[in-house]
Amino acid sequence: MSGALRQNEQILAWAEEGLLDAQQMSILTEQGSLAPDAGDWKILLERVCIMAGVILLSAGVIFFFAWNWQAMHRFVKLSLALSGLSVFTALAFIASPTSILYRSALLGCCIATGSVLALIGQTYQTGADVWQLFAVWALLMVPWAWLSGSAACWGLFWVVGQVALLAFFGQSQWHGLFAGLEGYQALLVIALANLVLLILFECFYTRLLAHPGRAVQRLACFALLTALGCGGAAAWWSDEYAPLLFASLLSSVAMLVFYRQVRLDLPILAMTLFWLIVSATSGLIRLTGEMDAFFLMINAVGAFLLVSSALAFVWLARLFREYQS
Amino acid sequence: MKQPWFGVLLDQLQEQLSLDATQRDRLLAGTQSPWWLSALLGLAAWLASILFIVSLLGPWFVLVDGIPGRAVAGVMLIVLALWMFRRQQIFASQVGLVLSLTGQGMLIFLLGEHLDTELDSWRPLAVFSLLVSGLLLWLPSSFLHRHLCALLTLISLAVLIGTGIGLAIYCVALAVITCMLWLQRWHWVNHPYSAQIRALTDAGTLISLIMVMLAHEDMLDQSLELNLPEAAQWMHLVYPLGMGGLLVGVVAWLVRSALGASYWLALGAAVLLAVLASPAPGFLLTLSLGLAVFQASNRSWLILMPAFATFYLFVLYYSLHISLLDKSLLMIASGTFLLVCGWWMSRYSEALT
Repeated sequence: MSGALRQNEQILAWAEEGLLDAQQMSILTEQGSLAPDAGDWKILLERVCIMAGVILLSAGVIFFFAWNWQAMHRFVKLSLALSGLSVFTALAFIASPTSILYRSALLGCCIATGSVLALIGQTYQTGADVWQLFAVWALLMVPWAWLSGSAACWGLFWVVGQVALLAFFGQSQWHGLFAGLEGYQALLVIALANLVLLILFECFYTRLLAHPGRAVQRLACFALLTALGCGGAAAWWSDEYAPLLFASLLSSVAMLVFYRQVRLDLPILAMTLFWLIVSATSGLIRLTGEMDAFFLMINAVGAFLLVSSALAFVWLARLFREYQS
Repeated sequence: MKQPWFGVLLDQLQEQLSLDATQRDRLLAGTQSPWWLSALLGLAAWLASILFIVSLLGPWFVLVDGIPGRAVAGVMLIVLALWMFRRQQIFASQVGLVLSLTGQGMLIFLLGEHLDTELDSWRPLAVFSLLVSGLLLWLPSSFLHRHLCALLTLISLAVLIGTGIGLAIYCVALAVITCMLWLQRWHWVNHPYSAQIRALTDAGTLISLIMVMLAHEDMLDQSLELNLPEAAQWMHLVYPLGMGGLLVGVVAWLVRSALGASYWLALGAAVLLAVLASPAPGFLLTLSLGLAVFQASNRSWLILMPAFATFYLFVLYYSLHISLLDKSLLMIASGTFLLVCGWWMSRYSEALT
């Protein structure tokens, strides 16, 4: 369905820009309708109903516990939350492993796991930090996501994992001794966690995903490059971030080689170049700032940004055209 | 990274439409660059434009005093932008976009300065912005520039209408027109002004998706400390009724050729869902727009709709018009109903096809 939709979208966009005239469009319509057919509609509606149904049901359960249930005993609350989880598990158990219902039910399990954890934390006042709650949730989600092989489940795992890492980073940055790590080390932890996820998905994507795609790899790359890029830019101003600049350069070179030569991925190449430009610009600002020449700084930084991003665009556009044709 | 569809599509079109090499190259050149690629070029183009604008306006403002003199600079920027658009290059289009936006912004700012406009009387500025952006929308320019002009036009209209029931009706009307335009895309795709209609359709989609947030004005009122008029109470009716009616209308249009029982079944399901999800009009709007953009084969909006639906769930959580318990029960009922629909479709697929 996705391929046909993409092709139809492109044809209509060409027609809107005046590149295909009315006669050509009528020829195309005569040779086969360019609108979605009944089969496409069935796939879409089935997916929308099941995915939206599971999300509304799980969100409804979370809303239910957010209501002020002072009169309800904690065991009743826990039983209700666990029954929600059980309903989704039972749905996954009876559904065919290739069906959308199976994957959606497991997505429901991922969400329900979080609501059970939140309820336990709220009821027993465990005193756990926010990042610990999210980290445990992300870990407990792994079996469901693995079984589902769905990019949506892995996407949720990535989001929850990043929230845990960011909360951890925030705590390390402001209360370093308490969390045991300083801010730059926490950034390295974020980068490392995403690097592990990226390597896992690059090596074993056929086992981890039912329909191989690039979304999870790109999300992991985005977080990895952002963590290292921010650290790399900060390294010009604070010596303790120097390891991040080194790691940023190393990973950028590795990614440029890997995603150009081994597995072509243009969005990742664009992200890598973007963060290289950001790090280099930060360095240029620092160096020209030390010379105490504001006019030179503005012009040098402007010229560098202009030339570097234009060159990056030219290279990527050439790759894109080659790849398209 | 695999993208075999594009080459296959070009080969198919070449065969079906007997295209020569020049026409094939035109199609290849007329393909929009992916957004991440445009963003990288945009960085360079925006920086170049800002440097140019600063170097032009700095001496101009020193030499020329007074509002009319400054307004000439704004007009000059817009004229320069139109010239850049004529070059039909990606970099020139991005530069033209910045020049045009700066020119428009400058003219509006100068008019505000001239009229000594207070924060609560933006209408003269909205009229002016409506005229300028509306005019620029119809002049030859780039894809992005047309879209931004369409957005400015629709936002100016919203500012002119002001808060209250008028804005609620505007939001619903915009959503209805947008859905109709998507559903009828085939009829305007070869229209001489199809590029402008497309820009208005995209802008209408985005604005209606944002404006439907106003259905939860109780929440906005508290967080933004707005003093909304009394008429706001009617909005609790306009949004749910409007968006519910829209969903039923879209479904009725889509299944109009279906046989008796299937038609009434689909319509009944839409009505039931419209009633159950009425406290969340944003959710109903994303469903209606999702169906319409799928019919129009617009993949980009189709991908964005679930993100908007999830966002409206967060909005619903914090809105104050009904209790959390009511919201929870309605969501559980809607979710169960949708699951039953999904199960029924997977079980009795032939009834649909």
